[in-house]
Amino acid sequence: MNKLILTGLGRRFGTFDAVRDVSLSLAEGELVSLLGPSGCGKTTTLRMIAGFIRPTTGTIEVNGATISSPDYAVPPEKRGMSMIFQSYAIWPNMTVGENVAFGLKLRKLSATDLKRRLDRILEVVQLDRLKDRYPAELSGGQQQRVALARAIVIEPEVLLLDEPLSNLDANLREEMRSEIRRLHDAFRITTVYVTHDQAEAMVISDRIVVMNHGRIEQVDDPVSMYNRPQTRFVAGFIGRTNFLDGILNGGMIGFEGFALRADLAPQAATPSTQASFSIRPQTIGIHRAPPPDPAAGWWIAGRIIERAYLGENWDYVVQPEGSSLRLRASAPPLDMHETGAKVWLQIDPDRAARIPPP
Amino acid sequence: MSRSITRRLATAGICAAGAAAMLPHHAGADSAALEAGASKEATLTWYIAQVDTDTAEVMGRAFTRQYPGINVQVIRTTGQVAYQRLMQDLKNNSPQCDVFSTTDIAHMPALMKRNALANFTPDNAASLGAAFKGLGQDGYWYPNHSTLMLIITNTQRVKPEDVPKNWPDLLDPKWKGRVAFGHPAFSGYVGVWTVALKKQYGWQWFDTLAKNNPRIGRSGNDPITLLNGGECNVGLGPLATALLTASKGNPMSVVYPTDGAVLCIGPSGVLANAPHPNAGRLFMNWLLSADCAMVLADNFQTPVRDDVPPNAATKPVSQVKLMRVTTEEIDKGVPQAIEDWRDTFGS
Amino acid sequence: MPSIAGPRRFDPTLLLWIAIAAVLVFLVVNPLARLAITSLQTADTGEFTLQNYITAYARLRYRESLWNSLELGALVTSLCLLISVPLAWAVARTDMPGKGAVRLLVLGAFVTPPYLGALGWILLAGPNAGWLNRIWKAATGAPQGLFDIYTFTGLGFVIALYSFPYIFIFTTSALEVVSSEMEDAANILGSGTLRTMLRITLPMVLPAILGGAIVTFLEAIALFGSPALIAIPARFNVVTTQLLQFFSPPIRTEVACAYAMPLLLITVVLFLLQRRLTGRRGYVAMTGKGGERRIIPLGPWRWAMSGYAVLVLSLSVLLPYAAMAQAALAKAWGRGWHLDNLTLNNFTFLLFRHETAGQSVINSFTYAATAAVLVLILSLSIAYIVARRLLPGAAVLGFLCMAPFVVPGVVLAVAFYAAYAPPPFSLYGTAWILILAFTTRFLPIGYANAQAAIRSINPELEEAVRVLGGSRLVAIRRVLAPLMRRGLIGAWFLVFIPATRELSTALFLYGPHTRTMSVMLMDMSEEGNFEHLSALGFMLLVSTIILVGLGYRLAGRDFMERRDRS
Repeated sequence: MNKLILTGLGRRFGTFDAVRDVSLSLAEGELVSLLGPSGCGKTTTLRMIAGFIRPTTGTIEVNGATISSPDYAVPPEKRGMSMIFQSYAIWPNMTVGENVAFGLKLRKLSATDLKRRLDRILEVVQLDRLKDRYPAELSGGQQQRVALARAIVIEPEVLLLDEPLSNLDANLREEMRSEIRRLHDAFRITTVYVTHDQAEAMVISDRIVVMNHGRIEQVDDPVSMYNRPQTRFVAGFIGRTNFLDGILNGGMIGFEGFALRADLAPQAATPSTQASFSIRPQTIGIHRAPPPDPAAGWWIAGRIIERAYLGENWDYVVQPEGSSLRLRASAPPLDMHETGAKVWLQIDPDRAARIPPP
Repeated sequence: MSRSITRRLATAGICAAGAAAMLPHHAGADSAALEAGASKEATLTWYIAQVDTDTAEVMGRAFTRQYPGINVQVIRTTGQVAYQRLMQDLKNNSPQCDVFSTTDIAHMPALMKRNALANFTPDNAASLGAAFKGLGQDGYWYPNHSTLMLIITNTQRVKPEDVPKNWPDLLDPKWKGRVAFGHPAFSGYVGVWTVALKKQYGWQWFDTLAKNNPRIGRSGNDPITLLNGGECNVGLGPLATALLTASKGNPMSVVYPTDGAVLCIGPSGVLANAPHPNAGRLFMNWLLSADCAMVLADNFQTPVRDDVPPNAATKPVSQVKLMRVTTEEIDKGVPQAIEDWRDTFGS
Repeated sequence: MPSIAGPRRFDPTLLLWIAIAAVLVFLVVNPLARLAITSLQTADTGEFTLQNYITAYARLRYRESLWNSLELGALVTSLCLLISVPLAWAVARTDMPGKGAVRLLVLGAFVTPPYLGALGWILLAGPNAGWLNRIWKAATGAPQGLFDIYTFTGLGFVIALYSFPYIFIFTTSALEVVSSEMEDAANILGSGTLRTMLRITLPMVLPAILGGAIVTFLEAIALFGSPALIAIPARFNVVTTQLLQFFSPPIRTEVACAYAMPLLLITVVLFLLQRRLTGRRGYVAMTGKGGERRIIPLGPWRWAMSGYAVLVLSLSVLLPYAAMAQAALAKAWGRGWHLDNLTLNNFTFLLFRHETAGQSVINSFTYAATAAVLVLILSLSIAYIVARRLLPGAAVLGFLCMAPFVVPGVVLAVAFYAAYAPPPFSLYGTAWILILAFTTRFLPIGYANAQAAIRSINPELEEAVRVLGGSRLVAIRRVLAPLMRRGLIGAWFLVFIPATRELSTALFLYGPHTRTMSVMLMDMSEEGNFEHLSALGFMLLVSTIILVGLGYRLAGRDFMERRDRS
């Protein structure tokens, strides 16, 4: 059963459409990320779900009941949700314990119940010994845990997270990423997670929603999102990629300076004389020797024009012969080529993603 | 103004007139009834500008001692503020004041014109001193307070042989920058004095004074401050305040000018729309009583009755050479004097 | 698990906001509208006319008074900037010695009613007998004194000495949240301490300085007491003394209203100006997040800075009160300092025997305290409505909160009297007409503070309450209010102190039982009663400082420190 359903959701501020026609369903216990650059409408969408902003079009339903529409909105405090904010929004005038217990107190739990649930959640987030501290006496990671505990302890209908890790340094961020996923696996709360960090979205999410200019670009699980981007924006936003734009000409696809066999290419959703592809650097092989039959697969002759050693791999930029294109390819650390060397690039057509032409 | 408000005002006026009709026009008519009514009202509000706060409160308490249970609410402020407030009361038809005691005698004809004063003749009006009889409008308002505006000097700074004897002596260049005055636009008594001096010596007296760079304060008492502080040596001041200050040990003395001190009259009247008409009338009568005159004399004020001796430090009015101006002269003369003053002195 | 509530189409908190907005209309719009309407009416018939404006501005003398006021405002504001900004910087950011004493003395200047300070300065710098001039003449043998307080500059100087705390307070509190990292960044590029202060630190707190400067300017042109004491003997008029003339017979309230209208325009212009000046550049440094604040060592200059502070505060507090001490302790102040002239009788008389002095002190403090509470409730609610955009046209409400500052106390008093003395309100003679007038008069100070306090708090703290199931009111009570406690106590004092010394409004509105200390002081000055006047001035100074001290103790410092780092 779908827990949370957004239908045709839109929000206009003056003449600016912050969110346009967003439709999305979350299953019970699912964790979905809203991913996109700043200004893409992801936070506005989240705040509409929370009830801080009323939509100008569309509806939001939870458990089959409409909670937001252009006509009316259930106020945030009646939605049974909880939210973790970018600033954590830990109340500095209350101790850790008071912060976490706040939502429980509003729910008028008995003292014993309250204490039991408070102690349990503090233990889960490893804050049991910091219960009487004030937030200012905590590290950033600890504050983040307080925010998590405070949001989860009330067992909300839906948990909303607004870029919760953006204020943490890199190491802590990785740790908290896993922490959030761990807590999600433990409590299975339906969660909407807003982030602009694709790695974070990949690690945490069951499904990712990539948004751009207020619209949904693609909704998919992390693996498909990475390997089968459906739009140029998604391909470029998630991971690094090469874009190849060509024209179908007989059995070949003509690119600037070279051509590849059209019959090997993945089929386009809508037939077109243009053919565009997103090709990940790690799906491109680099060979010194020319292939026995360049026409048997997708082979491109070129020259190394830049290289960078990243420890885990080499990063090469190859310019195909007779072309101004620059193709990025990664190779294992032992696969060394000098700048200026002539090489053959091998592309696996099955791992190339067909995207709409520009 | 909307018609309904006009009607309401009219009704209020008729009611007030009706209520007043039942009140005695004469205290003696039924003084027992007046006292009984006053006791029932138990309080009255007195707008007073004639004396300082301390003295006004002493007067209020003295009245309450005589008529226990009738409390006097003293609102002491300067004459113009008191009048402005009274005008607001009348305009808003929210009567507050029972008895109005001002320093500007011109206020009274103006109130008469608005029918704002009650028709009432206090018994004690008959006992007014000779110098004060007929100064008011019998049946409406009476002089209950008077002060002499005269020359004051700082005894530490003015050698006995230099003490000015008359008003023209103040024009002597030796007082340049050292002679102090109040302002006719702020002080009713200074206004009266200005009219009197202008009448006696013409405006050229003030033109000459301007060359002496006088120090001009606002209230009639400001010169006393200026003299006490040593800022000025001689000036124009009210007798009572000057003697009160001197009695504390300040180096101040007064000169009765040979060409005449200016007798300023402070009038009082009961308001037609007084919220406590009986208590107001009782108090008005008391203001003209010997008891009140004695309280005033204790505080160096000049009594308006001949049967109460003035304070030992002061001369009886009858022995003082006076410069007199009529109420009419004051009424007409003060606004013009203020304009002239502003032209001559700049503020 | 909590269930989701069914549809509710009406937010009951909206009613509360509407009620608050209605109060604002009562306090500000109605009296001001009355002022505007009256200015366009003929006195007796109430017909529409422009004659009042012609009368008010046809005469050169009246126009000159207006011009004098503007010049005076500019002079006072410049002097206050010169005094306050270096002092504020030194107190907030440097190792200048004696900072505690400086703060205390600034407080002393702030609680001193300007007319009391002016009286002190008449004693100090009267051209003939002022103490400073006597010393100068004795020291140099010069026939003439050095200073003359009875001049335009003298008046500006005296007003500045008691108005500068506004800019000082605004600026120090802003400087206290500027991160040292901002200064470090300039230092590392080779900028010295002075240059860094002028180019980096001060520009960052420019909004605060400008805010303080505007308050100072408006306060200076609306002041009545000091001009009455100094401008009239100095033979010039300003708007407020001119206004009073319209109230002496023949009373021309309509002309007075017309005469007061341009001041409203001036404020509008000033606020637009402030918005333009501060609107373009970013002032993100003010978030107070991240970065600690360190003390800047001044080296030997710290003594110079200290000397400057001592000089300013001597002029403002020490010297005038010393001059007044003579009168307060004298049997007869005209006799000067003599052993046999010393007495404590003036104090004991005021405390134990004076009919109304004690009551007037209590009145002043009660009214000021109540008004300050009302101002806080109102200005917080409105600042909140504006910040959270809860009502359409909320910005207009914000402007209305600032509008009363332009209305001179005398005019406000008249407007209030006209609006609320008669039935159905019948507030005349009650404490409420004073309290409400004070509330209106000091609403702008409260609003400016409330706005700053609310802006300094991340809205997410409040949203976190709501999303967990707490209503807006729970969020305000449990999170917003406790977090703003210090700011609120500060704002409360910023209203309370000027309200205790407020004269011009009280002068028109006090009744039999509602006389305030300021009115009492003014009366005593008119009665030449300097001994009691000075003693009462001292009692005012000491009791206000004690109250403020208690207040800060109540606010508690530990709470603050925790919050500063969050």
